[in-house]
Amino acid sequence: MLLPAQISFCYKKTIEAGCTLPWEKEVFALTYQEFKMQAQYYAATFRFYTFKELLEQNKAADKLHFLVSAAAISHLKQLNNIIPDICNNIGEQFLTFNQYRFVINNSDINQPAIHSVSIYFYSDPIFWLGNAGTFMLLTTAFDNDSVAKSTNLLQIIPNLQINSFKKVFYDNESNN
Amino acid sequence: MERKDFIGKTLGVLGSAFIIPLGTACKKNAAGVTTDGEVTTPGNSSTTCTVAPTETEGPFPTKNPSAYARQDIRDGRTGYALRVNVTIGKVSNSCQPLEGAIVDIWHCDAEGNYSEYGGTGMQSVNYQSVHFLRGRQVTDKNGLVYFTTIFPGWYSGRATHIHVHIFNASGTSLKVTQIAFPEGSGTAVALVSGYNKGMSGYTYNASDNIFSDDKDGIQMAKVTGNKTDGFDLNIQLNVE
Repeated sequence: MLLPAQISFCYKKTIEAGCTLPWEKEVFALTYQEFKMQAQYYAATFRFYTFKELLEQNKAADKLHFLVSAAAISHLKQLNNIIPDICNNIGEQFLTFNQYRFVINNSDINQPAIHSVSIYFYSDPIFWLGNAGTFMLLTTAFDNDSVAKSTNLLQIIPNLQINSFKKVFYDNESNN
Repeated sequence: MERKDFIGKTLGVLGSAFIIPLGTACKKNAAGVTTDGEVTTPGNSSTTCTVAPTETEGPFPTKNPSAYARQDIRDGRTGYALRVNVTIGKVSNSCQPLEGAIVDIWHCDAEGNYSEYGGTGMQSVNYQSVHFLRGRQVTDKNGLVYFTTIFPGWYSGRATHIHVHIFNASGTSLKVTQIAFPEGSGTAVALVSGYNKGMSGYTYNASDNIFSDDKDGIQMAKVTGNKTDGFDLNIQLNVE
């Protein structure tokens, strides 16, 4: 019996030229601008156009993932620790996060359409109690008592996965 | 190209250093630190109007640098308070203040660690603190930016320093350089004494790969203050 378990989710949100939401468009513009500024640091003696070309000529340009991510931080803070896009069965966002990572998929100093970044949101730990149809029954508070706990029903969608898993044992269970 | 090589090849020559004589009001202990903890050897930044060009490809439109712009860059890192005041001058205008320049700085924490590589690769990080001790400001009409931060620590092979990247208002890189700190008796570096790490194994400016060829002290800041009230760093950096 695997459940109940303490798990965390990872949601990969990719932001590209075709994004339509204001938050996404702003992150796109800010990170593209930041890429063009910061990339100059790694290209003093040669010409390049794409991020991949830059990486081929200067492996240190790998730091651009980190440096460019700075341009997105203020927008991450606007999320108030709530992972975007991931909703329960009544359309509410509820998964909290503090951890993330940022990746430049590609970029081109002359072609904004090539620019693509991904933000991986790692949820805070949450308890998976069981399943209801195709939904997972989740709660943030877990105690083996008689007090009712608030729960959320979540369905796995593309780019969302369970990132970590730890079996939870009741007081009268053994972990042996 | 290694980052160090790149930086070393792009450092400019701005002028000569001027070391203020030690004050006489305070007695010094054996370590050369004044007993009242005040910097008596602040050093001085160059006033010579010269620069080595470091421009690269551009221009790149910069609509608004505010997303990364902040004056307080501490993000929870603790240490002796340091206010970094950097004035950008324009050589082609007799080194008069350059308004609207974008200035990035970054430096290590009290233990000598940078906020590099965070949030990338396979490791996740806390988004609230991942960019500690890094920030951006835009120069005012006096060519000045300032940052609230902590006094940098040090790490093996390098003297105490702060990195600076200067862009024009369009985002074109104008200069990548580093700020050096005065050292020796009565200086802030001596007062801070490497925090918990101490100064054993410290690389002084004369042996530093970046600063050792800066015979004229063009990257040398003036640093005043004390550990209780904090330190003030002042330097003018000139661009084309």
